[in-house]
Amino acid sequence: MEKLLVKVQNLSAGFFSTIVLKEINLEIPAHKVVALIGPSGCGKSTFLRCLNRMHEEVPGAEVKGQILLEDQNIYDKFIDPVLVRRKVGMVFQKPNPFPGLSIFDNVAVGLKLMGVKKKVLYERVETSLKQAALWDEVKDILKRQGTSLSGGQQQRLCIARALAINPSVVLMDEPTSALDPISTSRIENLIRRLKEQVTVIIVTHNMQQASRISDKTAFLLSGELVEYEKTSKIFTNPSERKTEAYITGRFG
Amino acid sequence: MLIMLPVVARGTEEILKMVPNHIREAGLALGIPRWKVILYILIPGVASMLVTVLMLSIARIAGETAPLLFTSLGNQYHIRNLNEPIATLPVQIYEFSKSGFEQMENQAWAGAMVLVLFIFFINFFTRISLFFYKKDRVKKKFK
Repeated sequence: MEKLLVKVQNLSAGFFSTIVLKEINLEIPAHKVVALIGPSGCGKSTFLRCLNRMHEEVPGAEVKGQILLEDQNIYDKFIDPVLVRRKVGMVFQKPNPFPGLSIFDNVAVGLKLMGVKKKVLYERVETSLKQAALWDEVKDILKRQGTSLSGGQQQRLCIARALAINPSVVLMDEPTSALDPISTSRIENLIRRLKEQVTVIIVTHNMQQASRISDKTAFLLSGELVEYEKTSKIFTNPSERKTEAYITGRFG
Repeated sequence: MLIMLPVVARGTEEILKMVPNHIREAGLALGIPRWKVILYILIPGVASMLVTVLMLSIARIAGETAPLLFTSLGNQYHIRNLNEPIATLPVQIYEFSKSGFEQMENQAWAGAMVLVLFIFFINFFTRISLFFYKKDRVKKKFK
Protein backbone atom coordinates (compact mmCIF):
# COMPACT_ATOMS: atom_id res chain seq x y z
CA MET A 1 0.00 0.00 0.00
CA GLU A 2 1.17 3.52 -0.69
CA LYS A 3 1.94 5.77 2.24
CA LEU A 4 -0.75 8.28 3.12
CA LEU A 5 0.52 11.78 3.74
CA VAL A 6 -2.55 13.91 4.18
CA LYS A 7 -5.91 12.78 5.53
CA VAL A 8 -8.80 15.19 5.36
CA GLN A 9 -11.66 14.27 7.67
CA ASN A 10 -15.08 15.93 7.67
CA LEU A 11 -13.65 19.24 6.58
CA SER A 12 -16.17 22.06 6.32
CA ALA A 13 -15.16 25.63 5.65
CA GLY A 14 -16.78 28.93 4.87
CA PHE A 15 -16.80 32.67 5.23
CA PHE A 16 -19.08 34.22 7.83
CA SER A 17 -22.23 32.20 7.40
CA THR A 18 -21.75 31.04 3.80
CA ILE A 19 -20.63 27.45 3.63
CA VAL A 20 -18.11 26.78 0.89
CA LEU A 21 -16.97 23.25 1.66
CA LYS A 22 -19.26 20.53 2.99
CA GLU A 23 -17.84 17.57 4.86
CA ILE A 24 -14.92 16.73 2.63
CA ASN A 25 -13.15 13.42 3.22
CA LEU A 26 -10.04 12.80 1.21
CA GLU A 27 -6.77 10.94 1.50
CA ILE A 28 -3.66 12.00 -0.31
CA PRO A 29 -0.79 9.55 -0.78
CA ALA A 30 2.82 10.67 -0.59
CA HIS A 31 4.81 11.46 -3.73
CA LYS A 32 1.82 11.72 -6.00
CA VAL A 33 0.28 14.55 -7.97
CA VAL A 34 -3.35 15.13 -7.08
CA ALA A 35 -5.46 17.38 -9.29
CA LEU A 36 -8.55 19.20 -8.10
CA ILE A 37 -11.05 20.00 -10.81
CA GLY A 38 -14.46 21.58 -10.77
CA PRO A 39 -16.29 24.69 -11.93
CA SER A 40 -15.42 28.15 -10.63
CA GLY A 41 -16.63 28.83 -7.12
CA CYS A 42 -16.94 25.17 -6.16
CA GLY A 43 -14.42 25.55 -3.34
CA LYS A 44 -11.25 24.17 -4.88
CA SER A 45 -9.13 27.13 -3.86
CA THR A 46 -10.69 27.27 -0.41
CA PHE A 47 -9.92 23.58 0.04
CA LEU A 48 -6.35 24.17 -1.00
CA ARG A 49 -5.97 27.10 1.35
CA CYS A 50 -7.35 25.04 4.23
CA LEU A 51 -4.49 22.60 3.74
CA ASN A 52 -1.86 25.09 4.85
CA ARG A 53 -4.08 27.20 7.07
CA MET A 54 -4.01 30.16 4.70
CA HIS A 55 -7.80 30.12 4.68
CA GLU A 56 -7.93 31.72 8.11
CA GLU A 57 -5.98 34.75 6.84
CA VAL A 58 -9.19 35.95 5.19
CA PRO A 59 -11.49 37.85 7.54
CA GLY A 60 -14.55 35.87 8.57
CA ALA A 61 -13.11 32.50 7.66
CA GLU A 62 -14.37 29.42 9.48
CA VAL A 63 -13.12 25.86 9.46
CA LYS A 64 -14.48 22.66 11.00
CA GLY A 65 -13.17 19.11 10.88
CA GLN A 66 -9.59 18.00 10.82
CA ILE A 67 -6.68 17.58 8.48
CA LEU A 68 -3.99 15.09 9.41
CA LEU A 69 -0.56 15.77 8.02
CA GLU A 70 1.74 12.86 8.86
CA ASP A 71 -0.79 11.83 11.54
CA GLN A 72 -0.78 15.25 13.17
CA ASN A 73 -3.94 17.34 13.08
CA ILE A 74 -2.87 20.71 11.74
CA TYR A 75 -5.97 22.34 13.21
CA ASP A 76 -5.03 21.39 16.78
CA LYS A 77 -5.13 24.38 19.08
CA PHE A 78 -1.47 24.26 20.01
CA ILE A 79 -0.24 24.04 16.42
CA ASP A 80 1.29 27.23 15.05
CA PRO A 81 0.03 27.96 11.51
CA VAL A 82 3.46 29.35 10.67
CA LEU A 83 4.99 25.90 11.21
CA VAL A 84 2.27 24.23 9.15
CA ARG A 85 3.07 26.53 6.27
CA ARG A 86 6.70 25.51 6.38
CA LYS A 87 5.65 21.91 5.75
CA VAL A 88 3.03 22.82 3.17
CA GLY A 89 4.26 25.29 0.57
CA MET A 90 2.08 27.17 -1.87
CA VAL A 91 2.30 28.54 -5.40
CA PHE A 92 -0.29 31.06 -6.48
CA GLN A 93 -2.22 31.70 -9.65
CA LYS A 94 -0.38 34.88 -10.52
CA PRO A 95 3.40 34.83 -10.33
CA ASN A 96 4.19 36.98 -7.30
CA PRO A 97 7.90 37.41 -6.68
CA PHE A 98 8.66 39.85 -3.88
CA PRO A 99 9.23 43.33 -5.32
CA GLY A 100 12.49 45.01 -4.37
CA LEU A 101 14.25 41.71 -3.71
CA SER A 102 16.80 40.14 -6.05
CA ILE A 103 16.29 36.72 -7.65
CA PHE A 104 18.63 35.23 -5.09
CA ASP A 105 16.90 36.92 -2.17
CA ASN A 106 13.48 35.89 -3.42
CA VAL A 107 14.45 32.26 -3.02
CA ALA A 108 16.62 32.80 0.04
CA VAL A 109 14.35 35.03 2.10
CA GLY A 110 12.32 32.18 3.60
CA LEU A 111 15.47 30.40 4.71
CA LYS A 112 17.13 33.58 5.90
CA LEU A 113 14.23 34.46 8.13
CA MET A 114 14.26 30.92 9.49
CA GLY A 115 17.84 31.51 10.55
CA VAL A 116 19.70 29.35 8.03
CA LYS A 117 23.45 30.09 7.92
CA LYS A 118 24.85 32.07 5.02
CA LYS A 119 27.22 29.31 3.91
CA VAL A 120 24.43 26.82 3.43
CA LEU A 121 22.17 29.43 1.91
CA TYR A 122 23.87 29.60 -1.48
CA GLU A 123 23.75 25.84 -1.93
CA ARG A 124 20.11 25.64 -0.94
CA VAL A 125 19.18 28.42 -3.35
CA GLU A 126 21.08 26.71 -6.14
CA THR A 127 19.39 23.36 -5.51
CA SER A 128 15.91 24.84 -5.39
CA LEU A 129 16.48 26.86 -8.55
CA LYS A 130 17.74 23.70 -10.23
CA GLN A 131 14.71 21.78 -9.03
CA ALA A 132 12.52 24.49 -10.48
CA ALA A 133 14.43 24.27 -13.80
CA LEU A 134 15.38 27.92 -13.62
CA TRP A 135 19.05 27.76 -12.62
CA ASP A 136 20.54 27.81 -16.13
CA GLU A 137 18.57 30.89 -17.07
CA VAL A 138 19.31 32.95 -13.98
CA LYS A 139 22.68 31.77 -12.66
CA ASP A 140 24.45 34.85 -14.09
CA ILE A 141 21.83 37.38 -13.06
CA LEU A 142 21.06 36.40 -9.48
CA LYS A 143 21.45 40.03 -8.35
CA ARG A 144 18.73 41.26 -10.66
CA GLN A 145 15.26 42.04 -9.40
CA GLY A 146 12.91 39.08 -9.28
CA THR A 147 10.23 41.12 -10.99
CA SER A 148 12.47 41.69 -14.03
CA LEU A 149 11.98 38.09 -15.20
CA SER A 150 9.33 36.98 -17.68
CA GLY A 151 6.01 35.63 -16.43
CA GLY A 152 6.94 31.97 -16.88
CA GLN A 153 10.30 32.48 -15.23
CA GLN A 154 8.65 34.36 -12.38
CA GLN A 155 6.31 31.45 -11.79
CA ARG A 156 9.24 29.03 -11.70
CA LEU A 157 10.96 31.44 -9.32
CA CYS A 158 7.90 31.22 -7.08
CA ILE A 159 8.07 27.42 -7.25
CA ALA A 160 11.77 27.56 -6.33
CA ARG A 161 10.90 29.87 -3.47
CA ALA A 162 8.31 27.40 -2.19
CA LEU A 163 10.72 24.46 -2.57
CA ALA A 164 13.59 26.22 -0.81
CA ILE A 165 12.16 25.64 2.65
CA ASN A 166 11.86 21.89 2.01
CA PRO A 167 8.12 21.37 2.32
CA SER A 168 6.61 17.91 2.12
CA VAL A 169 3.54 19.11 0.24
CA VAL A 170 3.32 21.86 -2.39
CA LEU A 171 -0.06 23.34 -3.16
CA MET A 172 -0.56 24.96 -6.53
CA ASP A 173 -3.52 27.15 -7.26
CA GLU A 174 -3.89 27.23 -11.05
CA PRO A 175 -0.16 27.81 -11.49
CA THR A 176 -0.28 27.97 -15.26
CA SER A 177 -3.46 29.88 -15.96
CA ALA A 178 -1.58 33.15 -16.45
CA LEU A 179 1.10 31.62 -18.68
CA ASP A 180 1.66 30.85 -22.35
CA PRO A 181 1.66 27.23 -23.66
CA ILE A 182 5.44 26.88 -23.66
CA SER A 183 5.85 28.05 -20.08
CA THR A 184 2.89 25.88 -19.18
CA SER A 185 4.47 22.74 -20.58
CA ARG A 186 7.71 23.54 -18.80
CA ILE A 187 5.92 23.85 -15.51
CA GLU A 188 4.01 20.64 -16.18
CA ASN A 189 7.26 18.78 -16.79
CA LEU A 190 8.56 20.33 -13.64
CA ILE A 191 5.60 19.10 -11.61
CA ARG A 192 6.06 15.58 -12.96
CA ARG A 193 9.65 15.59 -11.77
CA LEU A 194 8.83 17.24 -8.46
CA LYS A 195 6.77 14.34 -7.20
CA GLU A 196 9.94 12.43 -6.45
CA GLN A 197 10.59 14.91 -3.66
CA VAL A 198 7.22 16.31 -2.69
CA THR A 199 3.52 15.70 -2.96
CA VAL A 200 1.83 18.13 -5.29
CA ILE A 201 -1.79 19.15 -5.01
CA ILE A 202 -2.83 21.23 -7.96
CA VAL A 203 -6.01 23.11 -8.79
CA THR A 204 -6.63 23.40 -12.49
CA HIS A 205 -9.34 24.43 -14.89
CA ASN A 206 -7.66 22.62 -17.71
CA MET A 207 -8.86 19.02 -18.04
CA GLN A 208 -6.03 18.05 -20.36
CA GLN A 209 -3.58 19.39 -17.85
CA ALA A 210 -5.13 17.36 -15.06
CA SER A 211 -5.01 14.20 -17.16
CA ARG A 212 -1.44 14.87 -18.29
CA ILE A 213 0.19 15.44 -14.94
CA SER A 214 -1.86 13.98 -12.13
CA ASP A 215 -2.01 10.51 -10.60
CA LYS A 216 -5.31 11.06 -8.85
CA THR A 217 -8.08 13.52 -9.54
CA ALA A 218 -10.77 14.89 -7.27
CA PHE A 219 -13.90 16.44 -8.71
CA LEU A 220 -15.57 19.05 -6.56
CA LEU A 221 -19.00 20.48 -7.21
CA SER A 222 -20.59 23.25 -5.15
CA GLY A 223 -18.56 22.42 -2.08
CA GLU A 224 -18.97 18.65 -2.20
CA LEU A 225 -16.52 16.00 -3.22
CA VAL A 226 -18.27 14.17 -6.03
CA GLU A 227 -15.59 11.75 -7.07
CA TYR A 228 -12.00 11.00 -6.14
CA GLU A 229 -10.28 8.35 -8.19
CA LYS A 230 -7.23 7.47 -10.21
CA THR A 231 -6.91 10.02 -12.99
CA SER A 232 -7.04 7.40 -15.70
CA LYS A 233 -10.33 6.12 -14.31
CA ILE A 234 -11.92 9.55 -13.89
CA PHE A 235 -11.18 10.54 -17.44
CA THR A 236 -12.08 7.27 -19.12
CA ASN A 237 -14.72 5.69 -16.97
CA PRO A 238 -16.10 7.97 -14.26
CA SER A 239 -18.60 6.38 -11.93
CA GLU A 240 -20.68 9.51 -11.35
CA ARG A 241 -22.80 11.02 -14.08
CA LYS A 242 -22.00 14.54 -12.90
CA THR A 243 -18.29 13.92 -13.33
CA GLU A 244 -18.79 12.61 -16.82
CA ALA A 245 -20.91 15.60 -17.74
CA TYR A 246 -18.30 17.99 -16.44
CA ILE A 247 -15.23 16.48 -18.04
CA THR A 248 -16.88 16.05 -21.38
CA GLY A 249 -18.04 19.64 -21.29
CA ARG A 250 -21.76 18.84 -21.20
CA PHE A 251 -22.21 20.52 -17.89
CA GLY A 252 -25.36 21.94 -16.48
CA MET B 1 9.80 65.10 16.06
CA LEU B 2 6.65 64.20 17.94
CA ILE B 3 4.54 66.30 15.63
CA MET B 4 5.94 64.37 12.69
CA LEU B 5 4.88 60.98 14.02
CA PRO B 6 1.21 60.94 13.00
CA VAL B 7 2.02 62.09 9.48
CA VAL B 8 4.71 59.45 9.05
CA ALA B 9 2.54 56.76 10.59
CA ARG B 10 -0.40 57.54 8.34
CA GLY B 11 1.78 57.79 5.27
CA THR B 12 3.50 54.48 6.01
CA GLU B 13 0.18 52.80 6.65
CA GLU B 14 -1.24 53.99 3.34
CA ILE B 15 1.86 52.87 1.45
CA LEU B 16 1.81 49.42 3.03
CA LYS B 17 -1.85 49.12 2.14
CA MET B 18 -0.92 49.74 -1.49
CA VAL B 19 1.15 46.55 -1.57
CA PRO B 20 -1.05 43.96 -3.29
CA ASN B 21 -2.45 41.32 -0.98
CA HIS B 22 -1.00 38.41 -2.92
CA ILE B 23 2.53 39.53 -2.06
CA ARG B 24 1.65 39.45 1.62
CA GLU B 25 0.05 36.02 1.21
CA ALA B 26 3.09 34.72 -0.62
CA GLY B 27 5.19 35.71 2.37
CA LEU B 28 2.81 34.13 4.86
CA ALA B 29 2.63 30.95 2.78
CA LEU B 30 6.39 30.59 3.16
CA GLY B 31 5.93 30.07 6.86
CA ILE B 32 7.13 33.50 7.88
CA PRO B 33 5.44 35.21 10.85
CA ARG B 34 3.35 38.24 9.97
CA TRP B 35 5.65 40.85 11.52
CA LYS B 36 8.65 39.44 9.69
CA VAL B 37 6.74 39.51 6.41
CA ILE B 38 6.09 43.21 6.91
CA LEU B 39 9.55 44.11 8.12
CA TYR B 40 11.72 42.08 5.76
CA ILE B 41 9.58 41.63 2.66
CA LEU B 42 7.07 44.43 2.31
CA ILE B 43 9.20 47.31 3.59
CA PRO B 44 12.22 46.71 1.29
CA GLY B 45 9.79 46.76 -1.63
CA VAL B 46 8.46 50.20 -0.77
CA ALA B 47 11.58 51.73 0.81
CA SER B 48 11.92 54.60 -1.65
CA MET B 49 8.29 55.60 -1.13
CA LEU B 50 8.79 55.61 2.62
CA VAL B 51 11.77 57.96 2.25
CA THR B 52 9.56 60.34 0.30
CA VAL B 53 6.97 60.31 3.07
CA LEU B 54 9.68 61.03 5.62
CA MET B 55 11.00 63.97 3.58
CA LEU B 56 7.57 65.47 3.15
CA SER B 57 6.80 65.23 6.83
CA ILE B 58 10.11 66.77 7.85
CA ALA B 59 9.40 69.67 5.51
CA ARG B 60 5.97 69.95 6.94
CA ILE B 61 6.89 70.08 10.61
CA ALA B 62 9.80 72.41 9.97
CA GLY B 63 7.30 75.05 8.94
CA GLU B 64 4.82 74.28 11.69
CA THR B 65 4.33 77.33 13.96
CA ALA B 66 0.96 77.38 15.67
CA PRO B 67 1.27 74.00 17.48
CA LEU B 68 4.70 75.04 18.75
CA LEU B 69 3.23 78.08 20.45
CA PHE B 70 1.34 75.71 22.70
CA THR B 71 3.84 72.90 23.01
CA SER B 72 7.34 74.32 23.26
CA LEU B 73 5.95 77.69 24.40
CA GLY B 74 8.82 79.74 22.96
CA ASN B 75 11.81 81.08 24.84
CA GLN B 76 14.27 83.73 23.74
CA TYR B 77 16.98 82.76 26.18
CA HIS B 78 19.26 79.81 26.75
CA ILE B 79 17.68 76.78 28.32
CA ARG B 80 19.05 74.88 31.25
CA ASN B 81 16.90 71.76 31.07
CA LEU B 82 14.48 70.27 28.59
CA ASN B 83 11.39 70.92 30.69
CA GLU B 84 11.68 74.66 30.21
CA PRO B 85 10.15 76.44 27.24
CA ILE B 86 12.39 75.96 24.19
CA ALA B 87 13.16 78.35 21.37
CA THR B 88 12.02 77.20 17.93
CA LEU B 89 12.87 78.76 14.62
CA PRO B 90 9.34 79.20 13.23
CA VAL B 91 8.10 80.84 16.43
CA GLN B 92 11.17 83.06 16.50
CA ILE B 93 10.49 84.15 12.93
CA TYR B 94 6.92 84.94 13.88
CA GLU B 95 7.90 86.95 16.94
CA PHE B 96 10.63 88.89 15.16
CA SER B 97 8.59 89.69 12.08
CA LYS B 98 5.91 91.51 14.07
CA SER B 99 8.37 93.29 16.38
CA GLY B 100 8.59 96.52 14.37
CA PHE B 101 12.35 96.92 14.62
CA GLU B 102 14.04 96.75 11.27
CA GLN B 103 16.95 94.73 12.55
CA MET B 104 14.71 92.08 14.02
CA GLU B 105 12.65 91.91 10.87
CA ASN B 106 15.82 91.33 8.93
CA GLN B 107 16.70 88.52 11.29
CA ALA B 108 13.26 87.03 10.70
CA TRP B 109 13.98 86.97 6.98
CA ALA B 110 17.30 85.35 7.67
CA GLY B 111 15.58 82.76 9.85
CA ALA B 112 13.13 81.96 7.08
CA MET B 113 16.07 81.57 4.73
CA VAL B 114 17.74 79.12 7.12
CA LEU B 115 14.54 77.06 7.29
CA VAL B 116 14.17 76.91 3.52
CA LEU B 117 17.83 76.01 3.01
CA PHE B 118 17.63 73.36 5.71
CA ILE B 119 14.73 71.62 3.98
CA PHE B 120 16.36 72.10 0.60
CA PHE B 121 19.61 70.45 1.63
CA ILE B 122 17.93 67.54 3.40
CA ASN B 123 15.90 66.82 0.29
CA PHE B 124 18.87 67.40 -1.97
CA PHE B 125 21.11 64.93 -0.15
CA THR B 126 18.43 62.27 0.14
CA ARG B 127 17.70 62.49 -3.56
CA ILE B 128 21.39 62.33 -4.40
CA SER B 129 21.98 59.34 -2.16
CA LEU B 130 18.88 57.59 -3.51
CA PHE B 131 20.14 58.25 -7.03
CA PHE B 132 23.52 56.67 -6.31
CA TYR B 133 21.89 53.79 -4.47
CA LYS B 134 19.74 53.05 -7.51
CA LYS B 135 22.66 53.47 -9.87
CA ASP B 136 24.63 51.04 -7.78
CA ARG B 137 21.81 48.56 -8.10
CA VAL B 138 21.60 49.01 -11.86
CA LYS B 139 25.32 48.37 -12.13
CA LYS B 140 24.99 45.18 -10.15
CA LYS B 141 22.12 44.19 -12.37
CA PHE B 142 24.31 44.00 -15.47
CA LYS B 143 27.41 42.64 -13.84
